[in-house]
Amino acid sequence: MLQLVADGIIVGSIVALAAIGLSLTLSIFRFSNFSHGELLAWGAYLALVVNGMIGTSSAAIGPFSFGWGPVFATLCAVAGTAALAVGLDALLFRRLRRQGSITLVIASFGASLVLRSLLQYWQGGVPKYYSESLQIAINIVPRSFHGGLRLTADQMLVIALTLVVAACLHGFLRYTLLGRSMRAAAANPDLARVVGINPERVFLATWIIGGSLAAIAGVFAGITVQLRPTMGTELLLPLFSAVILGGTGSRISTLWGAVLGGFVLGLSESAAVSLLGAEYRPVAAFVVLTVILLVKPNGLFGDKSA
Amino acid sequence: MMSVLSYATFFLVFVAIYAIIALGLNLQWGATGLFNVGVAGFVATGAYTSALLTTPQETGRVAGFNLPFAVGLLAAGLLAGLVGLFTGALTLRLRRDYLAITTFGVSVMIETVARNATPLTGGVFGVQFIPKPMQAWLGTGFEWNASYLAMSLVLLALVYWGLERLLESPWGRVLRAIREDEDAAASIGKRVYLFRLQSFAIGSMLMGLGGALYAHFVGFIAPQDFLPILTFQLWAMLIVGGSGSNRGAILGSAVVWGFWSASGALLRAAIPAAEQARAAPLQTAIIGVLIAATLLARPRGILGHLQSGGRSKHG
Amino acid sequence: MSAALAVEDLDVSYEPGLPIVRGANLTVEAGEILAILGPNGAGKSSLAKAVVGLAPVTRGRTLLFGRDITRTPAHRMIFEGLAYVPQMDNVFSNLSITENLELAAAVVKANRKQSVDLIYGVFPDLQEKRTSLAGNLSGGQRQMLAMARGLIARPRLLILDEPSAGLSPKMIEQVFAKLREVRKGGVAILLVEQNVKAALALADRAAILVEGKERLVAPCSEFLNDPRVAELYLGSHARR
Repeated sequence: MLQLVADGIIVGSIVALAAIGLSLTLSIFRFSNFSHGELLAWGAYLALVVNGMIGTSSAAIGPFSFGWGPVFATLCAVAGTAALAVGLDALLFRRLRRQGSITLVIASFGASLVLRSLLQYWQGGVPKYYSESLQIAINIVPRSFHGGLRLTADQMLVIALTLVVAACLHGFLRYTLLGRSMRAAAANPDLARVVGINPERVFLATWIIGGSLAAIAGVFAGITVQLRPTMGTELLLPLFSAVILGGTGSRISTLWGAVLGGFVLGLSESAAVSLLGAEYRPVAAFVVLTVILLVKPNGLFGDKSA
Repeated sequence: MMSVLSYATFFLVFVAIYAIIALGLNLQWGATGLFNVGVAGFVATGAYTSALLTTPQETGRVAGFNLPFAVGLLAAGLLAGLVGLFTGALTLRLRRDYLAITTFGVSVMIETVARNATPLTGGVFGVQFIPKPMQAWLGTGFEWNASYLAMSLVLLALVYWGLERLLESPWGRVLRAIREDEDAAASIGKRVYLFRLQSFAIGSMLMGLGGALYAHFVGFIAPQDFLPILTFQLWAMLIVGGSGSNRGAILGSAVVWGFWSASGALLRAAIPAAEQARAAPLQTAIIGVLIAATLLARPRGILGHLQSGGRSKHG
Repeated sequence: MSAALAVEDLDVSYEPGLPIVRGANLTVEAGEILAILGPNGAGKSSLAKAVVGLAPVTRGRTLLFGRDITRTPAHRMIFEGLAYVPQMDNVFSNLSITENLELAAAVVKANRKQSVDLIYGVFPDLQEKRTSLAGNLSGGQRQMLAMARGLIARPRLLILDEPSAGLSPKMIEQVFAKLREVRKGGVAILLVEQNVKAALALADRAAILVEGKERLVAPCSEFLNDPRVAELYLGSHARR
């Protein structure tokens, strides 16, 4: 039972990280970006490729399964994915901004298919892994207590890093000028311009943050499960459910709403898998979505007017 | 000569089927401004419903109802319409993206069930031996294809005519008013939500109908036939042909299906057999670029009217 | 010495071929208050929005102290010395009073503490409630905050869109008294108003905008007794 909870939290961390970025883009750009999942997948694969180019000679750091090589590769992936997000905006979304949010949703849907297809073409459909070596799971709680709890060092890192990243972002949004400008732009785009905030700078920052977080989430997903070209699409429904559960708006709490949403999704998926079997994992996200839409469509921490 | 005709028939049946689905999508999008990202799921609902109701006894899954083709078609439309009703009821009062997300979720759900509920849907193996109507009389050759084409074209014509009449009717005019200026329409007492719901349900029914027609033409269906790529193709058809226009929907179906088939054939010819599985996604990418390019360069598509945008709080 | 604001032959159209403002001409001198009056739909708000870059200008130009700002993007206006207080949604409801003011100061790279303290000196009521969320303020308090936010960047020209909207007569008097103080500081003020009486009492000059064009521009003292004023308001109503 505890193990289920832990598995749920690990999956939840991945969803949470990506959901923060998705929630941010939703607040700033006011459209649901169907291509966000693909940023996650591209991030994961970019890290894989860079790591492959560096070579596997770097020794593992401490109890983790990776050395400085993969860490560097992850940073490259973050940069690459951020660039991809910014590029996609420049090529497509920016030119359609005047046409309304639905056109942007359609365009993002098209972009997601192109991105996924290109990834499939480039990397093929066979699942891949960052590291061939098996990780030893550490006994945290003995089996006698609710089935016990065993986690690998990597998994614990994933959970910890997610919270650290969320906290850093909180600080950024609360205390820096750019962060406050972003919150202002999310609340009232016209007034933000009147006050002197450059919308393009806010947009750029949003894509960079969104892309970076998605890349990290993708690497985490690659570490804890595997890499496959459809990994982004499979996470899209859980991502949207998490974002809607958390709520959208301009308050800082929506950041934590996305995090909470991610964890709820992770735990729901764990429950679904244990009750119905692994093939029925998507049911969890759909059930959560339906419940939230019925009970509190604005989400837990959203602005009053959705 | 015969094989060209044969291929042409085959091709045109698909165009007709896609056109019917596209007309349903156009009702939802062009006439009502609702974005349905789960088209494949609604089509699958129709296909599976009709298939399951008409196939003979089969071990390992629910079957044996042996109901006639017409009943299958009807049930397909009804069930798809119900799914549309459910989806719409859940989200039509909320912001428009939420409908998109929910339809996406619905299609993921339907695919999950289709793929895994083997006792019901045959799982990954799908449903085989779906009865082809009038096969007893016409055999399985060109004559059957041609008559299926004739039937499909008749159905297409009926659907087109029906939709055109519907949009000219008082109901249709209210729908147009809602799209142009939602707040004004609401202020004169028209229940915006109900009209949208009806439109969405009817559109969903048409998608189910198309799915059933597909099932009975091909004779077997599996979850792989209803992947998101199908949704994507339908959207491409609508966008390229011209959203907002029924004629555009039909034209778009022909153009995009033609493009798709041609690009598929080209890739097969140009790329060595070993690489073909890898190159298949390229076809999708090309079409994706086509959609994006159309949105950027000619948002109206070939025949369509520009979306009026509609200044409403649900934007 | 050029006028604080010069609007020359301005057309503002949201849709091509349908100008809301047609060939408008106005000037606002430094240290004066100009009120723009006129019936509903005359284009007053659109004119103000066009000057600050929030509505599309399709013909003509706008000059700020002689500088052509017609093509200047909206977010640069504050740096040119132009502050705008919109009629609705004129504060960030998700931020507190202090955060609203600090943000406005930080964006223009002003010394945050100094600027905010200075503004609190002019708006002591705001200081009392400085930690309240702007969304929880009353209409009058919000208007004060919106104005304070506009002033924190030390603009040379302040444009306000219907500052009296939704306020009680007492509140209007307070708001307008603040504007008088602001004018004393040498700031030029452009006021779009529906409340003719209050506007005429406050402003130096007034312009009546009808169907996108200024029809009458004169010192306010002349307006109060001018029969043409009523005509212009009623005339366009009759035509409707």
